[in-house]
Amino acid sequence: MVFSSLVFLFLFLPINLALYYSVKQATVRNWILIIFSLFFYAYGEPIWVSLLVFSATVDYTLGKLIENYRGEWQSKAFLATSVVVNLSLLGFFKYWNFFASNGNFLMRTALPYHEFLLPIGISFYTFQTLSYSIDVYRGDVVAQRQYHKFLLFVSLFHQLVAGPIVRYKDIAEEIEHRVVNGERFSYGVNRFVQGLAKKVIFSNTAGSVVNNVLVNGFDHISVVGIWFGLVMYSFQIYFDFSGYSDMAIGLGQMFGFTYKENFNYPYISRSVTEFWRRWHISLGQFFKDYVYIPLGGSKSSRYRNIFVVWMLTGLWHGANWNFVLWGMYFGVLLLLEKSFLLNILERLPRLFAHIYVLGGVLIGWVLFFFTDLGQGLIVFQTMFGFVEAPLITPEIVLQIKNNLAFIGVASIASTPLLEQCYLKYLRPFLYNRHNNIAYLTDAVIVCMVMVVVTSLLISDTYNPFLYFRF
Amino acid sequence: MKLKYSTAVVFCLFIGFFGLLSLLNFGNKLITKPEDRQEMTMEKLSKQSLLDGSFATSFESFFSEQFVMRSTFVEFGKEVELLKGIGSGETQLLDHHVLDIVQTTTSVQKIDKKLEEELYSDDGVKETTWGQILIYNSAAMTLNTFSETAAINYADSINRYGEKFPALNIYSMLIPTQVEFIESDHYRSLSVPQSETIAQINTLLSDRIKTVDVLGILHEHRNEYLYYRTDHHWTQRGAYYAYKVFAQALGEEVPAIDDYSMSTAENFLGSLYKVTLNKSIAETPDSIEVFDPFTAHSYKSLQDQIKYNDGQVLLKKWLAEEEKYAVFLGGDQAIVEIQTELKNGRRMLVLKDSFANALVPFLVDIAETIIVVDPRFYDGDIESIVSEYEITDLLFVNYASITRRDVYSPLYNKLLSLE
Repeated sequence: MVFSSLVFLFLFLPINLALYYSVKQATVRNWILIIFSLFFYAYGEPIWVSLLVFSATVDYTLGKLIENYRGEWQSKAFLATSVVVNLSLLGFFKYWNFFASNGNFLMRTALPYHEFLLPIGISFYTFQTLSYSIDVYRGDVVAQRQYHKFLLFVSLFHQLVAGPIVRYKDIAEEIEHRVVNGERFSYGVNRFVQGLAKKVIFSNTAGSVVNNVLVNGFDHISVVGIWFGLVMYSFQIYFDFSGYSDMAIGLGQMFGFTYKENFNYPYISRSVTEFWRRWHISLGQFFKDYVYIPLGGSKSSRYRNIFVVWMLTGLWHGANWNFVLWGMYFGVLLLLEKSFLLNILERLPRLFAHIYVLGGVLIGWVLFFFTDLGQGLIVFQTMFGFVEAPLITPEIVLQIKNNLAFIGVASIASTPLLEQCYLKYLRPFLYNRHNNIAYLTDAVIVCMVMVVVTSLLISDTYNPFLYFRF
Repeated sequence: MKLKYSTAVVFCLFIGFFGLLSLLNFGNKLITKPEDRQEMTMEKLSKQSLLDGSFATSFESFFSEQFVMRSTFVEFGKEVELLKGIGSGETQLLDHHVLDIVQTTTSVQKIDKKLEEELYSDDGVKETTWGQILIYNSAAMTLNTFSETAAINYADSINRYGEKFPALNIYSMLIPTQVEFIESDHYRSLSVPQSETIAQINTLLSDRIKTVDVLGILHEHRNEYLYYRTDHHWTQRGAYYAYKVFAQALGEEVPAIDDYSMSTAENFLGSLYKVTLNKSIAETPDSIEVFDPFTAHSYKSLQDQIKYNDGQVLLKKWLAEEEKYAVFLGGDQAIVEIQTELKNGRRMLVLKDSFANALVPFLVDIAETIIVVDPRFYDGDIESIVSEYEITDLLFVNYASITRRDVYSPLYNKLLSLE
């Protein structure tokens, strides 16, 4: 199931909320959440829910064992088991075909392929359970002794399919005792509706243009068309991904969980280093804590470490060479920035830094979007005029005209401008009149957004789910 | 009074209220409108459908169909979508799902999931089923695209009929769509020229197949009312000119269009309006002209029952309904039989899509038997029909946009049981 669907919004969520808040006992509430979460996952993927439960059971058991044998060699062995099991799951379901095809190509072997699609969310939950075992081993958290509580952590539908990557230690407290109150709930609603708007209003609108221009229209691309398509894709992926994170954070608050922020207006960054501190923060943190630092961080073989981390980051996004290249591309940019570019950027006017970051990220999206490297190459050549292509086509003129207002609004919405205006000016202004006016304004905005979102979902416009490959 | 939590309250009421009402609505519809097409498309709850996720998918769309105040939401949604551009947008490009258009005209028929899969997947690869609609000059039209595979396979299928039935006269008629004839070169260039795609298919056809060129005559008369503004089909006036070319190829005389007795229905909002709900085209609804054939005849279906069928190829009761294009043959039918009082020895088989529906009524004046088969719905074979009815002439009628995706060739091949 996905958040941006009518069944989730108007059946699953209200029923879940009603049941959850109709009981008082913590254990019953936990079970309600577990059952709804498993149903949420099983709704579209009935078979693969077993994989999720398997992964949870394995790490629950290993976590206890790691703790029981603390300081002895067995502890290390159990940790190794967890690493092997989780990475094998990921390796088999997500990367097998990729490795097999490359292996077959390079070594003329005949490794068989499997035909099933990637189980949704596997990249997220394997990382979550893995990080738990590592944290228990490191003594950062106490192992969970109650199975249902651990299953709750792994299966929580809020972040199950599209992140953020929530670590056990971040919500360990809240798994035991959660505080829910009207204030948190209202904040959660606000956040969730914000995320929903990002996904349904912004991401889907941009996505339908991307689909027309870069997918269906690929055979007659033009220079402006490519750039326009990529700008729209930049909007699509940002609003989609950060929208999902907002919805997860919001849902968490409604049920008493606090998840860390995952996006922080990445497109306003002034260096690629900064961009990656603002984009998919939980993933960057994961690789930093579990790969970069264990490898020696910036103390030993820093260049190798950065290289490894970014290759893996790329690969995490998909089992394809284009993602590896995409990761390495950012690795190289970050290395350049660390050695000299950051110093230069700081001295240049801000505008240059912004153009550099947006341009750099946009070019990155070419690698990300076109899984077919041949297509990607054509796109690069077209963008910079190395091959013969029309500057612009009538279709692109019309597309731009038909989306001009959207581009303006989406650009503003990619910056903190609206949020700042609201928090700094509108809200204090309303509060000064009367508290109730401020509360009511919020409620009216939420209601209006819900009407628009519902209308767009019902009128069945373009509403894809981008996370099938993650 | 404290309104601190009004956001939370409003949100919960909103999702709870609409969720509950839609659920109630659900039950209602199931009981009161059993003939509703959605009920038919709803996947049966079974182990299989649960496990492969198809039940979930079909439940999603079912829930959306039954959503309370659905049409209000849809209309509002379409309004909101327009805000993304500048100006009121007299010329626009809109996205559509290919199946949407098919569904609006064949709602008399059921389009089920299985059919959808057959229509739109090829070798397990889901083809692009998104297309674009151009709103131009108060008319909506689908844009044409070109897939070489589709063209080659289409020609190949028809050639197979040529080999299989050496005794038959076989004709291929490809009907260009409205976008081919719009005035503005600029906007016409959004679409792949159908003059080229038709020519390409024609060169791929074997010498056995006679091509019926209707593009020229339609171009000549392009300023007449040949296409609907709100529907993707041609008018019967458009079909008349195509009939003229075809009949002349058969050596038949065709009366002038004004000699036919004609009836008209106003306020027709067709498939493209239903898909786009675009206000600017709704301001000028279509009228639908219907020309009676001169020859007495009978009309019946050989597979499904046809609503409003009183034994004539023009089912005029449909003119009072929303789906007015169904006046021709009662919409897309799997297989129908027309017997006329002519005794000229010409027994025709028409293999076709919905464009042929407006054309077939004219053919009543030049053949003694006409069998019309829509390969999307007919699941028998062709050989037995050819022998049973002693068919002499076989006519393929499709719109030229069959080159957008490879849909018809697998269907035609299946009728031959070659695949």
